[in-house]
Amino acid sequence: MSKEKLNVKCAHWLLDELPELKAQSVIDETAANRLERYYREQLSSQPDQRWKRLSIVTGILGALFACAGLALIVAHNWDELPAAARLAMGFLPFAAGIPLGIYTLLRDRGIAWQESSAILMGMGIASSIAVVSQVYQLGGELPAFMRIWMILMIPLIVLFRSFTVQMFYSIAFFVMIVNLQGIDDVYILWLLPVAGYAVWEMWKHPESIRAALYRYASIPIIYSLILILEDQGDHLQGIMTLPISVLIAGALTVYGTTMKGNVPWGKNPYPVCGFLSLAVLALIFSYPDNWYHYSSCFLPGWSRAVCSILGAGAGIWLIAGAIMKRQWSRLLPVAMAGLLFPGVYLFFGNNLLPNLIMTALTLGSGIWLLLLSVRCRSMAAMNGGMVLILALALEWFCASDLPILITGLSFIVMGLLFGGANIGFGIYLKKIVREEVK
Amino acid sequence: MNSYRGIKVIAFAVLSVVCLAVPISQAVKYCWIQKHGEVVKFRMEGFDPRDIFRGKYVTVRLSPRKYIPGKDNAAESEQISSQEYQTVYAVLGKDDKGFATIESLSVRRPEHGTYWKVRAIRAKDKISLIYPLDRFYMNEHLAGDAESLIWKDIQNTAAVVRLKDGTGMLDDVEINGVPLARLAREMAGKK
Repeated sequence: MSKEKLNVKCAHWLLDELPELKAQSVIDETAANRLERYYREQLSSQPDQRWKRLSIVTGILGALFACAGLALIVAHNWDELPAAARLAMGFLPFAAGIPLGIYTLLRDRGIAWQESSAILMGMGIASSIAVVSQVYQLGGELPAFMRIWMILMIPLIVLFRSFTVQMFYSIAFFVMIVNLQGIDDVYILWLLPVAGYAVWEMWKHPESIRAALYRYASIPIIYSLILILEDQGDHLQGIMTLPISVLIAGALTVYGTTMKGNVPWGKNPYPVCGFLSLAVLALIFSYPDNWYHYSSCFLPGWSRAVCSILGAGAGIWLIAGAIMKRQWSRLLPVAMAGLLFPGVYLFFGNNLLPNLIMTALTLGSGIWLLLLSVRCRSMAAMNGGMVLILALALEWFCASDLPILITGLSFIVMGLLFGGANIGFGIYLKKIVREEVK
Repeated sequence: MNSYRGIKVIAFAVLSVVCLAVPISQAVKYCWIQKHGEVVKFRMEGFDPRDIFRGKYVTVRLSPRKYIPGKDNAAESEQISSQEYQTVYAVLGKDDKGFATIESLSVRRPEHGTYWKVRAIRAKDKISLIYPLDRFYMNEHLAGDAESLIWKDIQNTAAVVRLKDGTGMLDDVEINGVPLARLAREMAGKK
C-alpha cells in the first residue's frame, strides 16, 4: 500500500463503514481499531484534495502578485542603466516562462502549473513589449499597447487552458474599449475566440471547478459585449454599471447553492463564486473614486435599484442561510456589505462615510475569515481572508501616490506572503492531524 | 511523448518565437533608426501622466500641428481627406533657429528629402496633423521635475527626433541643447 497511491475516497468510505462492520460482527473490535489507526495514518500523510485545489489558487494568486510586481519594477524606468541591461531585465520574465511552459506541456502538469506558466508568459510578453516602448520612446496609447498584448495572449489561453489569462484578456479588453473614443461593432471579433473557448470548456466539463471559474471569468466578456452593442458614448455610465454584472453573477451563484445545497463548500464552486461576487462589490465600493462616480454619474434609476436590490438580496440570502442552517461560518461580514449597500447609499450618498463603511466591512471580512480559518482549521477560509486583505491593500496602493518601485516591491512581498502563509498553514494543519491520530 | 503533447509543445515553441519576434523586431528597427536616422528638432509642450505598464512619461506635443498649403502645393493638399484622418508624408525643413517646419504634405512617399509618416485631416484652408510620437518615458522620480523644467523654458525646449525612411523615433528631449533627464537629475540633486 505504501508504495501505491492511496485511494482517498475508498479510505474514507472504509472508515465510515467500520462502525457498521463492527456492529454486524464482520470484524472484531481489535481489527477495526487497527484498520482505523492504519488508514487515518495513511490519510494524514496524503495531500488532501481540498488542499490540492487550494494550492492551485495559491499558485495563481502568488504568481499574479509576483508578476504584477515585476511589471511595475520595469515600469519604474531604470534610465541610469544602459539600454541593453534594461532590455534584458524586461525580457527576463518571458525568458523564465519559456522553460516553465515547455516543462508544463511536456510533463502534462496540472492546473497550478498550467496557470502559473500562462501567467508568467502573459506578463513576460507585456513587460518585454513595455520595455522596448520605454527604451526606444515609442508612442501609442494604452489601447494600442493592449491590442498587441491581447493578440499574443489568445494562444496562451488555448495552449494552457488558462482561465486566469482568459480573465486578464477579458479585463484588458474591457479597459481597452472603455479607453476608446468610439466603439466599433467589429470589436466583437476580439471577443469571439475567448468567448468561444470558454463556452467549449464549460460545455465539455460542465461540473469541473475550471468550468465554474470560466463562468466567473466570462463576466467581463458579457459586460464588454453589452458596452459594444449599446455604446451610448458615456463610458463612465458603462463603468459604473459593472456592479450590476457582478451582482447578477453573485445572485446566480447564490441561487446555484439551492440546487446543490447538500454539496459541501469545498466541492461546490457556486458559493465560492457567490462569495467572490460580494467581495468584488465590497472592494469596488471600498475605492473612494468609485463611490464618488457611482453617486454622481447619470445612471438610470432602474439600474441603481437593481444593483441595490441584488446586493441586499445576496447579503440576506447568505445571512439567512447561515442562521437557518446554523452554519455560523457562512455569516460573513462581506454578506453584511451586500445587505448594507443600498441603505448606506440611500442615507449617506456621496461622502467619506459609505466608503469607510465598505472598507471596514471588507477588512472585517478578511480578518473574520482568518480567525475562522484557525478555529475551523480551514485553508479555504484562510485563502478567502487573505485574498480580501491583499485586494484591499492593492486598492490602497493604486489609490495612493506611492512610487511605482515601492508598489512593485510591495506586490512581490504580498505574493511571497500569500505563498508562505499557505505553506506554513498547510504544515500546521498536517501536524495537528498527525497529533490527533497519535 | 504522445503526438497531441508533441503538437502542443511545437505550438508553444512557435508562439514563443512569435512573442519574442514582436518586441525584438521593434527593438532592432528603432535601434537602426537611432544609429542611422537623421536628427530633426521639434518645438514641444509637455506634462507628466503615468502608464500602468510603462511607467511615468512626459507627454510630447510636437509642433507645428497645423499646415497651411501654399499655391504651389494646393493640388496635393486637396487630396487629403476632410472626413477622417489619413496617413500622409510631411516633408520637413528647418527654421532659422533649427526647429522643424513643414514644407509640404504628400499622400505619396517622397523620393527625396527628410520626411515623416503622419496622420492629417483637412479643414477648409488648414490641415491638422497628428505625429506618431507622443511620449518621452522617464524615471518616475524625475518626471515631475522634468515637467516643471519644460514649462519654465518652453520656448527653448526641443524634441529630438530621428527619422529614417518616414519612420521616426524620439531620441531625446532637450532644453537649450541640454538633455532633459540630466537637467531633471541636477534639479533633484539640489533638493
